[in-house]
Amino acid sequence: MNRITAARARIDHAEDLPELLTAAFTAFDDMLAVLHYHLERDDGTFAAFILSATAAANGRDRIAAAPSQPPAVIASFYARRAPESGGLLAEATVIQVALAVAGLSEQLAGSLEAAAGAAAGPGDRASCAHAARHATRIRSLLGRAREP
Amino acid sequence: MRATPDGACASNADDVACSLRRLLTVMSRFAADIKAASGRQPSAGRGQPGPWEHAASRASETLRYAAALLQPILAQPRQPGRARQPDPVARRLDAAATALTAGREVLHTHLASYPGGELRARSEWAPVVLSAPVTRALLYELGTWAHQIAPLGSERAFARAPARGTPEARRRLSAACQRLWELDLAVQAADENDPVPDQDLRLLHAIPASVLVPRHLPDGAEPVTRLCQGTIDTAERVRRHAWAAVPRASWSPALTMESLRESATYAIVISHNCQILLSALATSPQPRRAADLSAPLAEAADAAGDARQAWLQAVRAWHGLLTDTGGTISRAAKEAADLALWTGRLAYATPGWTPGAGPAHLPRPARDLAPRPADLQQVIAAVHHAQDTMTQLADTDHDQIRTASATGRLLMPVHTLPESFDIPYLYSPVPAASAEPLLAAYRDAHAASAQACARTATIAEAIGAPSQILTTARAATQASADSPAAPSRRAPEPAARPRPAMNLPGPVEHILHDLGVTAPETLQRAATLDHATEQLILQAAHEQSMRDPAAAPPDLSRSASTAEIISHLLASGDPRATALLHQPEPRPSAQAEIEP
Repeated sequence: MNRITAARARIDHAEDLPELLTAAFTAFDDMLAVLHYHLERDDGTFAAFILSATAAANGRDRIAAAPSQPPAVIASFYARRAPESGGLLAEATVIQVALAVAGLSEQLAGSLEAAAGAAAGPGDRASCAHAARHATRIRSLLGRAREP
Repeated sequence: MRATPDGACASNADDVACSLRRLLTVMSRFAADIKAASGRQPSAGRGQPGPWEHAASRASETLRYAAALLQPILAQPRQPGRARQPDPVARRLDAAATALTAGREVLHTHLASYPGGELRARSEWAPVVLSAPVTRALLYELGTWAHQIAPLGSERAFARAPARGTPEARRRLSAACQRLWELDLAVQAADENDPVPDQDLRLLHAIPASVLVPRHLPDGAEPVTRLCQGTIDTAERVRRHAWAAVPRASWSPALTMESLRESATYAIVISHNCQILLSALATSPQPRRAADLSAPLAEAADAAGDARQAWLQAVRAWHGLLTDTGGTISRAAKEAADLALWTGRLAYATPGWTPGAGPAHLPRPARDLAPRPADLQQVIAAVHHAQDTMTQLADTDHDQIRTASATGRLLMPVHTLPESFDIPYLYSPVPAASAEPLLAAYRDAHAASAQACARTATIAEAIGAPSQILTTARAATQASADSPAAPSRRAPEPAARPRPAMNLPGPVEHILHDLGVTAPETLQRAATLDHATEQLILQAAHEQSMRDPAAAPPDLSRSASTAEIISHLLASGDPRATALLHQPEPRPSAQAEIEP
């Protein structure tokens, strides 16, 4: 299973806000890793990939600041010495990569928008809303990718 | 006014004096601006004043004297009677006053004036306006204007019948013009000592008004020329908004991690687009270009690629950092997104290109991009503006981050802090040392962008692209910021720009003209007599000053006949003539300005 499908599964299985925040945090970071891996493969997708990577980083860092985010998740993330290198869709075309990431970001945006509406604390609501906008942006940047 | 037999209006010294007074008022304001700008420059207050500092001081004094001399004439009421046409010279002086007022207002759109004469920046052009090179160029122009105006006024002051004007008005007009000659000679002396490069004069004339073109986006139907202009307009908007954000960094809610990260990301895209454009031009057929630019264009494309990589590192350096506010995207970041779109529309063949358009889009071929040399100038100018903007953006964003760090607005997770930090929150303000890698990444992005910009600037200069002025502007501010000498930008020497000495008739020759004499040998004898008379006066004045160095020269211009000789001497460009000028104490009322 690659990182994108794994991230989608975690979002699907999240049962409460802390679990969703954890899954979202990881999903943004997974998207970032995949996009950086494929960044230089094609001049035509370079702009969309780098802008999506920035949106993923912004989404990850905003969701990390949510008050209900389990601190251990953030602590272990920053404590790791090197990012994992597996599951980066190495065999896929850039269009397949773009569409896979777009699909994850669409799912993530929907989940975070719902969480923003349901969360009790204003900090969680704001973090989810901001992060949902970043996910939506990724979907708009990558969702129209078509094979030439 | 009485009409002359040929139908022209007779001259009127009163009219000319009034108009000259208005013009001197505007010129005095320029002189005050030069003084205020000089006070902000690094060389001010160090050691002996240089030639231009001396010239600035003389300009201020001579204009004050000249204005004081003409002040009472303005106070005299116009003679009642039927309306008459003003003197043609007065009309020319009025037009000059209007034009110079407008020119000064253009410069002042970049500045805010505060009580006491202090000038503050209102745009990113302000450091250029206040730079030493531009200040000197302005003073040089002040001398040029004086050089043009003085003979006009002198001619009216000494005009024979049917000229009009009271003797007092003529005497004062003559004396005021002598001060303008004096100003001209002081500026010429400074220019001989430390020449103003032509590029600085061009820079002064190229300074735009501080008015941004309204935000607009490409609709997909633009030809290359309009895409180039859109790129240049948007690049200026990015520079302005980025510059304006720096002083607000300590409190602005628009200073967010998202804004700064997005700005840097768009800088990557813009650098990438510039790289594609330069690569395409490097491969264009040789016969279309006057010079072989393939190698410089390829090097410029590589440099744009290096800038792209440096900006990528700046984006990555944000890892683990956050700002105290979030969600808001700054104006500069939004404008940078527009610039990415404009440069992308230029770089790609697809008319509706967007960053999210996917991989089915090929770069625009060179034959479409620049089929003629003039098109190449436009494209290079667009790339040059975009790269200059990236250089400025790296600088302004670096300063914003530094302020955010210093004011506790830059945060990092407590888990990444040393264990000695006992902080019960998830995020904490970063220690200065932890902000340093991010700041260093922006400094690297600035250096790489500046290098890329310099490569393109070389090409812009080689082909005469209109963006050359950016190079001069950056050098001007750099010269002011670095050292007073700034040797790197003073060379090469400017082209010789001597002001021609005015070949005006002297008093004897003037009389012969009035008598209707046209024989060249007779007029030459008169000119020789005038010259001999002037040399005798200069010699006598010199001997007098050697006998009594402390004695001030008498006011030789009180007599109309001697005033004409002194004016002719000054017009000849002989700097010794200024020693003959009496230095009157200005009246207090001379300080009171009137609206031109």
